[in-house]
Amino acid sequence: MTPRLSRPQVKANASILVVEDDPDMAAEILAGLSSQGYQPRHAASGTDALASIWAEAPDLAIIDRTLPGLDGLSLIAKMQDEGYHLPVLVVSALSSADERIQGLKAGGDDYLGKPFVMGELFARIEALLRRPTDMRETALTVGPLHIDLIERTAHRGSREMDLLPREFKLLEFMMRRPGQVLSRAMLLEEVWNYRFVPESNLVNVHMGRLRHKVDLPGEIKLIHSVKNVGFILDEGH
Amino acid sequence: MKGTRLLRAAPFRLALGFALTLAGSTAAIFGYVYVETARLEIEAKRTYLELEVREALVMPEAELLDRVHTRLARDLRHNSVEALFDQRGALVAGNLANLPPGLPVDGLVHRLVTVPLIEEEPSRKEIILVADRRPDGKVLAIGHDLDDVGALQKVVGKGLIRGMGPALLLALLFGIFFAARSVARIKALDRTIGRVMAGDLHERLPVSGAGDDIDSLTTRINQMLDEIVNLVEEIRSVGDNIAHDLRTPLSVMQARLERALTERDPEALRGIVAKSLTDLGRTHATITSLLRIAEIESSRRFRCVGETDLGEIAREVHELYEPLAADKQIDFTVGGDSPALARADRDMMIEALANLVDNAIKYTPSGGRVRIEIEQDGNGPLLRVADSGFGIPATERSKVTQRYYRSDKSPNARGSGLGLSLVAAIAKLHGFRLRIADVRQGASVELACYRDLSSSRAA
Repeated sequence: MTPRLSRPQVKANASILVVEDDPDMAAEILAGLSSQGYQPRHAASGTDALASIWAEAPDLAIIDRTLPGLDGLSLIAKMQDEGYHLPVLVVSALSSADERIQGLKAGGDDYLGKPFVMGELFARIEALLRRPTDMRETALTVGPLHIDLIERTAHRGSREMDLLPREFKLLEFMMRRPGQVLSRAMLLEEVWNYRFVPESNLVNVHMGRLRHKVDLPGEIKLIHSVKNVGFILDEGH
Repeated sequence: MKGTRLLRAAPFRLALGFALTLAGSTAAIFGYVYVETARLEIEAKRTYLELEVREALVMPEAELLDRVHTRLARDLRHNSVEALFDQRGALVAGNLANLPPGLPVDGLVHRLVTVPLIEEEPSRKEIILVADRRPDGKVLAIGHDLDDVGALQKVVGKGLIRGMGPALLLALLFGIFFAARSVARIKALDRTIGRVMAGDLHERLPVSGAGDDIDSLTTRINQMLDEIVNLVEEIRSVGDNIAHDLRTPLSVMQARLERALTERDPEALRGIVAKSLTDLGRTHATITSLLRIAEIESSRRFRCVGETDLGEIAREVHELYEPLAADKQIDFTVGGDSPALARADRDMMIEALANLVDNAIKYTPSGGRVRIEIEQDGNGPLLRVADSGFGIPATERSKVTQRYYRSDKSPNARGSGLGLSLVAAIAKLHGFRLRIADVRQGASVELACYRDLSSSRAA
């Protein structure tokens, strides 16, 4: 059986609209996005952003909450009123749980508190641009990895891996997003459902456990660390 | 200015409104009495006149003439009309020049305004008249004016003015008195509010002691100001803490980056940048923790919390931290009564317990023990995290729940030092009690998960 790499399609040169009024911050984000192969555009205000969305139809928008004139959340509301349904990543220095809930309720697809490391921003963008595999599937295959979601069994090739429930959930989450960088914060939020960030390097420890079971000595490494950000499940590294 | 202010004061307007209502209703009562009395009076006169004329029709003429003369002679105020006309309409006797054109000869009472009276100019006064024909063809007309009814009107009007004037005046005076009092009180409140708005948060509104509604309102506003002062001070202390804890690493970073300007070796430069990034990450983590504590302290979200099973939370946190403990060869266990229900926010309890366990694992050397226990004391459930670590000296126990305290005995453990402060904030929000138990070896931190009324914060 040839291993099939079920990597969802993602537009390599997706255009991303950055709505940010601080010129330094905007310049850094734009440079970072360019380095990742995206085509970034910039709008310094909500009104500019609407004009740009209308003219250029970007694939995704990164919107700062505090903008001069039309603020970020009102901008999202206006976009929805006018029928633009592109994924929106809200970026804000207002990062308490309540603010976050407000941002997501207003129509943001994800919420990232400032300050953030660029890797985290890229991981979130990637997650928004890709769709995870169909949630109704009962089995997932990535390279030599195969898990059965009904029997709760996991195999690498013909070798069965004995995973604890949390490890299984973690692997399932990663196999739904192969080749995609997953930040520690994303894993904590999605796999463990935790909003708070523990002081200890908990995610690393859990991932270390899973790695020991997935990648035995002598086998090709499938789980890779991404420095300062998190992890990726991929054979190509 | 003062005048308009007084006139616009609520008590004055109330008194004015009351006075006007009183005047209106009294006038309506008087009016009703007048209209009814006048109607009855006129009705009585009509009946009288109709009877009179019927009686006079059949009288012998001599007697009738005598009667007309006697009546008119006695009528000093000229209220009556008596007249007898012959078959051709010429006056035989009486005080009417001719039969008024508007008066039908039908034995019924009619109301006329202009009547051709002898001796006088055509009268303008209202008169009710009745005319009827005698068997011999002569016509008799008798009538009476309505001056009495007008007099009644005057009496009623006078009574109305004499009674109402003083009542209205009194109501207005009361209104002005109370309005002036309340304007003075509100002015005093207004001055104080002005000072509070100008920044003097320690000013309090004057309470008169009358115990009225304004007093209870000002008391509530004063309580609100107390709470605002508390919150402002909390924010100020958060600011102080941020400044205190961030200045040091920022100064270090600044010095390091200044050194980087003169550094030639690319490897050394990269090292400096990497170190600075690590420090920056740590300062960000500190800010996040501080803001989270401030968020919990100012939170009111827990109000509508349901029951949370502490046993389930303990198992979940155990599962989360088990690999970490295992890496450090720490024997990590969980035990005790379950289910143990507490009125608490589930996510916050997980956050609190995770912080306690995180600390315990951090401060316990390899080969040690950490245990989560759930117990019931007399009042409710209790969560305890006990470890075999360095322990917390009795002198430092009250300090560890304050922000920024990190025991000197754990130089290897790195953290923002905010974990226990966060747990303390969550405990305070729920009205729970956080206690560091006195044990011989290691540390034991207890969170009593029921409302401790002696220390709970009003919410």
